Amino acid sequence: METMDTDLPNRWIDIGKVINRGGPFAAPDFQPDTKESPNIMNGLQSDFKILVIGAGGLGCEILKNLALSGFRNIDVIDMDTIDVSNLNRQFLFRRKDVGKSKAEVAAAFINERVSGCNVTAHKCRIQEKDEDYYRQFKLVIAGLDSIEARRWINGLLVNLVVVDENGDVDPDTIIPLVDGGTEGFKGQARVILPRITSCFECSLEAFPPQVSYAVCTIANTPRVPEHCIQWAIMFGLEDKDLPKPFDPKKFDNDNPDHMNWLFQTAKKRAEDHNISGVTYKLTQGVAKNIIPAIASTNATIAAACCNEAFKFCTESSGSLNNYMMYNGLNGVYTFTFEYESKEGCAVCGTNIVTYPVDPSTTLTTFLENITTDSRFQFKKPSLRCNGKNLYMQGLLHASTVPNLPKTLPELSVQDEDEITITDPSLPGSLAVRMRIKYKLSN
Amino acid sequence: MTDSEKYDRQLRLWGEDGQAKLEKSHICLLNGTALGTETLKNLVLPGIGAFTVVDSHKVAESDLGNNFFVEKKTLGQSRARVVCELLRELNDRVKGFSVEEDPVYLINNNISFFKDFSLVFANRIPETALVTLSAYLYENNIPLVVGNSYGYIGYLRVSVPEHQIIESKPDNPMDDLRIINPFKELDEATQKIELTGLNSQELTHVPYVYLMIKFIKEWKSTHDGKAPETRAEKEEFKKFFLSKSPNPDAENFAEGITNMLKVLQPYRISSDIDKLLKDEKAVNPTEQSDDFWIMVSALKSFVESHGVLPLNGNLPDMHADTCSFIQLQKIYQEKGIADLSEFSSLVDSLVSKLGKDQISSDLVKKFCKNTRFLNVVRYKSLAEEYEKPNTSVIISELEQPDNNMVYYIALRAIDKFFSTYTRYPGFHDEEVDSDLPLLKSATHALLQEHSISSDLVKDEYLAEMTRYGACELHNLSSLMGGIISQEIIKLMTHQYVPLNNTFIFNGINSTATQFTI
Repeated sequence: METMDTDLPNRWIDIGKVINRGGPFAAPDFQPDTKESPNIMNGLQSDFKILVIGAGGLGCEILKNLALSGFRNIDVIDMDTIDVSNLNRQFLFRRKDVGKSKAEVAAAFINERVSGCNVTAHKCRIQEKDEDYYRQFKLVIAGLDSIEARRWINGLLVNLVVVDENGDVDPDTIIPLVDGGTEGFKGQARVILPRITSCFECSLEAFPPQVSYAVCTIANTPRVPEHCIQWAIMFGLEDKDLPKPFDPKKFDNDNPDHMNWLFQTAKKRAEDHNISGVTYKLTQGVAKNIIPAIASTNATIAAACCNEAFKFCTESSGSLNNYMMYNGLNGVYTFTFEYESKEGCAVCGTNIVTYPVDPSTTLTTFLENITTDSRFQFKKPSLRCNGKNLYMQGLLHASTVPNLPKTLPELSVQDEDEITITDPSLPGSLAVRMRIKYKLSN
Repeated sequence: MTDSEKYDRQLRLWGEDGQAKLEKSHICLLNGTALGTETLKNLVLPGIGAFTVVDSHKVAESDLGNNFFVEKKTLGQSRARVVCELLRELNDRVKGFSVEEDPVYLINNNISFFKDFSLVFANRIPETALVTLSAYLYENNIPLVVGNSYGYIGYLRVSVPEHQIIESKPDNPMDDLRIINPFKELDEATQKIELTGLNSQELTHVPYVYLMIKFIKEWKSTHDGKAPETRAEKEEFKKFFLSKSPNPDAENFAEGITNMLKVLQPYRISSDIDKLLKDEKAVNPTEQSDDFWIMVSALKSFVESHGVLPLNGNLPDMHADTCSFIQLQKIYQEKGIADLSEFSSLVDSLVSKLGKDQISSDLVKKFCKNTRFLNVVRYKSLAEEYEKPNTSVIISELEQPDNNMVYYIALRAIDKFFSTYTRYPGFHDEEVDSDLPLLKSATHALLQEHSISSDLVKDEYLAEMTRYGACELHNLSSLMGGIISQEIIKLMTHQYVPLNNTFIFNGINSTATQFTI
């Protein structure tokens, strides 16, 4: 692999101006490169290994931006394959690529176009890689649409930071997470320095769970086309009397025949209730929870993320502290602010979360409360207290089911006891510690 | 594969109509730099009709360090041709053309070259030529977008005499429910509903619109015919409203309370729309008037006779049983149709009075459904900005610490510097130190010209700009390319509201500011 572009001495002349020259707004420790010691350029071209998570709308942009910022040592992880509806923005893919791995096609394209760049593709889930894999990177950039995946990588990176008994952080173990997200004309870019700034989990409330329709409206009083489509999904699929050209257990959003059945069923439901406006497109939108996406917003947010990555690695400029919101609907509006760490954050907080509970609360209700709490957004939590399993997922699940109707005191949970909660949305070794505080009964 | 599948994620934003307008547009790019190609990339992907790149440069080594639409094997070839070919690969529905010519030469010798474009995007064009181009495009009503990616700083300016928007698509539009001023059909339907005969189950299924209208009327009968206005009255009304609820969990009553403050607002036409109705072009339509202003003029007549805008006829979902909701929905829909038909005849009679061609019924309908969201943006020309900038805005911004206005001033001063020395300050390593004082003098001269104190621009900002030496960092170009393409899409689709008129992105701390200069 060529490393220094010896045949192209002027290739990086533009980047050179900010890394060879000092300036009033550079980071305090910035040491401009000299001919004798081009440390930053060497870093970009070999030492700084960057991980890109997601090779979709943001990911394609991020890979291009990193390659043209001089980075050469890049990994990309994405388990998805290319869909035709990606082509209006995921510019590294062509019609012939539909069905292939996003990570692999994107990596090959960048390596072909930007000479000297070396992108390595991983077609897998991020959870399939271990801590040692993640430890090798200088910085991680995430361009994901899944909240769950972002929580997972955030938790892992926070966990990698070594904190000594005095609470001092070992700076060499900090791997920044630069995170971007978009929706239509809106987006956000942020810099997370694990254990230093707020983390993704601190701001979970800024990403509320998606709106759901009341089941009784869907079942009994549909009024708008969306209600009829939800009915087809929730009740139509399960209804044995409704003929289907496929096995309802294997319903596939991406299969046009299945989608068409859903559309026809929703349309029939709508006609029965004099509701108009069910279209194939709307059916798809509701069933797949489609979020509009355009090239321009992705470009803006991905570049804001990569600009931060470049500045962090080169120290050639100050940085985003630590959150930029972007809205392009009316003019070009941005808001940059410091998102503060949340006291008692389940992931980066040192404190245990104190959780007030009524002593008459059953385990069932307690589980409901913590899964709907927007601060935690647990998916399938497992709970232990004083070395005892209160509620477990997987193999031990059945043995804990009899606990469900019991109250917490009946399960020997005392006031001030700590319940340890693990959940698939948190990386394996991470747990939320919840101190139970019984409310005085009236 | 159909285009609607490929374009699905964007059609959900700007629809078939916006897409059709995009597909008719032909965008001209001056200079195929990284900023230029990144902008075009985001326009070719969603499917503009065509683009033309005008550039006399050859692909240089430095292009390989910041421009994605060149390749090593194309070194030394025409940059216009190379970027055009690689951009075309992104979408086979888009036509791409390249013109191997210096844009400045075209501006000075063949300005009519630009007359058939839908929009021109200029970057790194010297000031004098830019003003000439701007004047020509302004006269021909062609939008000009100027962009710059300069070190960690991004700049964007939009200019067109008048930009009309029917669908401004605000983020959280208020519903047009007319609860405080119900139209006749709505009022009659409300009166027909007898709440007293309903059991509590039935009562919880009455749409809150009916409840509100009924109880406001009842309230008025005991309050001198006045709706609740003061805060205390509204509090009292809230209690009164809730006292009618059969149980504390009734969702329709809860919805009424959530929306109470909004629906109790007296009906008024927004000041933006009022300004449009009073515009000279609406007051005195002529045979030269375009469709938009003829419709605004007809809207003015409609408002004069009714005191309200045409109803758009949409009813948002609200808690109710299917039957009552559908019935209420129909009342709104029918009133919307009646208003549209009246508005259409106003348009028709105005059109025939002026001796103009009929306006398509689809356009009239779209206009009528969106009368609350109409918008007209009028821009200053570049020549006017350079001669008479909005100095009060400039000064008040500069007086705030760390304001991004300093970068606007610095970029303008750099243009002056370039005109004098035909190079950018700090372009060559050995001139960084000697160029800084020259840039300072250029800046001070510029400020003096507009009677702005030179203390307002600190030297450190000019030192930072000299450090950049006109370098183009890919990240900044890609970021600005995203924003510029988005503004171009708004200008081409006539949907959403574009920037007025200047935008600065500060890539040092990721802040950004819009100014009307």
